[in-house]
Amino acid sequence: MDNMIEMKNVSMSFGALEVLKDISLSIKRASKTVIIGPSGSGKSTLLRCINLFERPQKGKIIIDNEEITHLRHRDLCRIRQSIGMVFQAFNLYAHKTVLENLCMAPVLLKKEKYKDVKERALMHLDQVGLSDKIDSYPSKLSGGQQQRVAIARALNMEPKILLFDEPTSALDPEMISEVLNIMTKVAQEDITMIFVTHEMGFASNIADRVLFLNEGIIAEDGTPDEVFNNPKNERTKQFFSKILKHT
Amino acid sequence: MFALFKWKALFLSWDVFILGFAITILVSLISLIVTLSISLIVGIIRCSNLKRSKRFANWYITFFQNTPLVVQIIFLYNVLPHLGIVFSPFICGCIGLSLYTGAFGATVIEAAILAVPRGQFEAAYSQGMSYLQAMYHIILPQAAKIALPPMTNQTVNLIKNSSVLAMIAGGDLMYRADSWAGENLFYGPSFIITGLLYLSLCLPLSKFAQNLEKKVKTK
Repeated sequence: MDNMIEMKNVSMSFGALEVLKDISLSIKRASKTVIIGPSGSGKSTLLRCINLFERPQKGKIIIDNEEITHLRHRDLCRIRQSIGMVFQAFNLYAHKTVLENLCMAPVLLKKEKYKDVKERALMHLDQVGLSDKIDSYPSKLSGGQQQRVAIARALNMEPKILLFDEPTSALDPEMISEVLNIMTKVAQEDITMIFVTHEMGFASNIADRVLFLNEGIIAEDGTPDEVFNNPKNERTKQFFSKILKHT
Repeated sequence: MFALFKWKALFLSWDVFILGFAITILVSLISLIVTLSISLIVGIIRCSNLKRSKRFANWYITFFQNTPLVVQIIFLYNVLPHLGIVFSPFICGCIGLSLYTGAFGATVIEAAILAVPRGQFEAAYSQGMSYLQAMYHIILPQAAKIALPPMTNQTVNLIKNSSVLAMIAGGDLMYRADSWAGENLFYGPSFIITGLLYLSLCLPLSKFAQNLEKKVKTK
């Protein structure tokens, strides 16, 4: 099987609010998927189900041919080591320097040698253009820089899957492009990636698949060209006409 | 009060006061260590989702915060022996002070943990850390910084409260000063010195806490 992620009939509610409705989805190894949709459509929840930050009430989630929905806590921690996540609010460890942010988890959890981890971390920091900031604390960095460190931190775990949860939504307009540039570069890597984003230009550049989520249902599923230029669903057309009006 | 012979008598029995002072420091140190452990454990339990332990922690905090320390210590010293449990005054004092201050310390730790942004937990979990690993490596180091100033204030309270040991003949500074003055009625000099000795412990600590608080705020 060449699917890295499989979701089978996943349903999830917060109280009476049904956020995901019977979603089935397969994501190919090393593919780049972008999830778009109006706010409240369940994009982030769908993403957070993949590393089980949210536990769906129904359905199965299979990562690299291993069902994770019923795993014990310890095994779930092991699975999460291979699923990186980049957050809207960066969430760098505030009491640790940039280098420590990158090196901590691989040494602690994957029991790797510090020397090797550090070498890799320096390479990733170079990749995101922050080699000169290794000893800075997160509070001394701009939002864009923090997010680039967060991307490097996720990469330094050598994940099989990378999840991006609206990585540019909390950034000043000027910093969005520096982060998108890095993400475009990172998207060349052989890692399965899923992006929840509102950056349509970025999506059409790097995605091999775009999902449009609306009210907990995948309303549109296709290549960027299919979804952006020939949407079939009424709600998708409406969404694009609204966001494109001002650009 | 300022009669010279009274002060002369006091300085001749300086060893009484130094011994009391030493015992006060010892009781405070031991109680501080136990208090910190209680605060940490109960504080973490209050932030966890362990239902039964949480109920026990709530009960403990409510009970010990809302009864006087004197009552607790006299209970330990005078009531427990009826149940066949006998502690020395010194041990009673340590247990009482620790339980009492721990009930306040636990809420300090709890508030500090809750003050660390939720995203720090999520980042740790996303990398594969367990609850305890995230707590130990990510949350507690940040919470400690927040908790240090209020915890130092609790320590000042603990030192001052250690004077209730006098109620059960605990041998501490307050007890020795009181019984020394009781013998010769030189209350003035006795309690001026006692006050100054307590001050010499608490004032530096309070100043330290104030500086820390400024540092945390400016960061």
